[in-house]
Amino acid sequence: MARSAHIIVVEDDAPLRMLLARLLGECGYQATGVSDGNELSRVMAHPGDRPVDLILLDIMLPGEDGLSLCRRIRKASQVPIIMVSARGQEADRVAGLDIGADDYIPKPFSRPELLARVRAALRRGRESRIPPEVATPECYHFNNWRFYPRRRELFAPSGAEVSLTAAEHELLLTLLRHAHRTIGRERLLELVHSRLPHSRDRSIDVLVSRLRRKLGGVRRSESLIRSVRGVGYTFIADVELA
Amino acid sequence: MRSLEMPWMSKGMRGRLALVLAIAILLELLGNLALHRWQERELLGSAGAMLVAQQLVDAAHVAEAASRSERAGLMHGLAIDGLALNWVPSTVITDHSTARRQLANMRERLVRFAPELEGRELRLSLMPGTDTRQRDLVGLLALNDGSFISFRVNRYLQAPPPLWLVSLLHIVLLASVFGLALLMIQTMVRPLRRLATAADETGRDYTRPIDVPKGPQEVTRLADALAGMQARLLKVMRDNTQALIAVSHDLRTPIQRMKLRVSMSDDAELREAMGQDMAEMEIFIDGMLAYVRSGADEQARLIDAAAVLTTIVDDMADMGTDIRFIGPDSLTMSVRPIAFTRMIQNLIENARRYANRIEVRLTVDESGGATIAIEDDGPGIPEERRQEALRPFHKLDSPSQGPSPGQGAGLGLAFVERTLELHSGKLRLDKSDLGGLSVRIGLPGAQLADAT
Repeated sequence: MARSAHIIVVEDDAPLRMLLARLLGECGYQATGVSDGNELSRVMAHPGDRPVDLILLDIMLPGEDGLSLCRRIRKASQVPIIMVSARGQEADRVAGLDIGADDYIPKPFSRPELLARVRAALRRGRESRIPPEVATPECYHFNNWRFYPRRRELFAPSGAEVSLTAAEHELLLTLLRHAHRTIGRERLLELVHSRLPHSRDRSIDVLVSRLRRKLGGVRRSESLIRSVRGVGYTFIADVELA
Repeated sequence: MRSLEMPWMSKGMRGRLALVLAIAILLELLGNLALHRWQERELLGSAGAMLVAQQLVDAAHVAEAASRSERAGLMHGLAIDGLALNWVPSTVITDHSTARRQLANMRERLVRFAPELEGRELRLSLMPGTDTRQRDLVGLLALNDGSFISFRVNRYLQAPPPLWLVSLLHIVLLASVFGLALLMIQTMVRPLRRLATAADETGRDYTRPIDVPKGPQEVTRLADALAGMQARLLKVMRDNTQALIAVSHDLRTPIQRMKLRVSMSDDAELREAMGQDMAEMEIFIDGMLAYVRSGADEQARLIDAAAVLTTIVDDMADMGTDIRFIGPDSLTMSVRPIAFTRMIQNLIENARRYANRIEVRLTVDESGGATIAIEDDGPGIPEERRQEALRPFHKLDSPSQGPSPGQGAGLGLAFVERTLELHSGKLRLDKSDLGGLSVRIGLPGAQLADAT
């Protein structure tokens, strides 16, 4: 990477906007602060020699709000977007992820939290030049279970929602993406933790056993996640994308 | 009863009650009169009375023309069916017609049919009949020499009904009048009961507006006043909630700035200390928002409660807390997911503040009642202060230690109670077998996923 990543911070509170820009600048990114949707459109339209790599988008904005901005950006571009909103607005989180935001971070966040999410989003943006819709389908079906990765929602065959920790979510997503293929422990751990900002390194076996319990396969013979001795794990159910 | 709303009726409660009372008394009176009449009905028709009058006049003429010794015999001969006649020189029988209206009527009727009788003394009385329980009319007609013709009209009055029948009829009458009065009062009072229900519901989660019912003036006025009060109260509640939410939201931006500013500081000690201060502020704000909302703005959904518990417990265990979950792998319940999750987080957070070791236990009984117990090994709450712990904005601080740092706004358990109210759940504080506090939540409608 010759140039440092260019991040646009959309935030209506001027001191906070400057703080964020400074913080990102200190960490080696190029940051541009804008206060609303109009300014953002102007910067996006004329990036010059600094293409936009990531947008940090506050939901509560004067005029056009963050959700509608996000929808508008998605029509034209696949640039990674991290939504920022007040904590506890669960509806915002779901809505934001639904309309194509890549991540969601609740306010107030800490510096390491922010940096971890920014790093992860940038890495994904670079890794997959394919559009995120293809990379992350709307819904995975397996054995009457439904998993909506964007909304981070898992539903049991009974229709009950099953909550997952962030690590379990990443593990399940990784397994589903590589269904019927055996993934080595090391690789699995790497894939799972690459997206997790501040998880203590739980062993992958602990994570798998937690996920197995939630997927209802208490008995080893019924488990959807099969252990391959000395190698890793395989997700054995047929997975349908929707 | 719309038919009672008549224009001539009094609009006030007092007037209506007086009217009901008057109607009841009047009905009772009329009923009594009718009963009495029915008991004393006459068996002698107009034709019979005319015959009796005629016969008496004839008998008087015959008797006065005859000698005293022949009179008795002649009288016996004049007797007709239903009317016996006799002559007596003197008598002890007195007149009862002044005491009994029916007899006075009879006298008038006899005189009307035979005006000649008016000039004579006529004594009328009643006697029990010879064969039946009906009563006979007994009379004396004075002759001009001071002797009397006595006569007896067989079956004059209906037999008095037996006492039990009379009593029963009176009871029936009383009961129906009473019932009618009660019904009328009921229609007056019904709007009051509806008002009370509406007032009871105000401030709970489903508030129906009070409608002003038709009815007595006092009730409509009360309803008006209550409806006004309800509207003002709800507005204040809404405004307060909005203000709290707005303040809590607005605080987040300055906290966010402080957090970032502090993180850029080189002073590690300051970073650490201020980081903790701000974490406390966040807990305070979260608690405040959770209490104000308490899940009222969320729909109930089917979730796996066991998964929620394990998710929270695993997350906390990963952060280094000594906590474990004991219970089934899956337990389906219909709850408001965010409020439910917050409630559990709240309770566990509480336990973590005071204790080192925490256990979260989930059990379910046959009727689908789930119990979530959060047990800790902390100092617990003495029995007499447990009720106190549930009050909003109230913190239990032990005098020996003083308030401990980082205990939030004192909204924890009050929020939990409000959330449970929405879920028809129950909360119990107890002593834990781990040595500290045991917080037990009971929730209905849980379903164990079958093992297949």
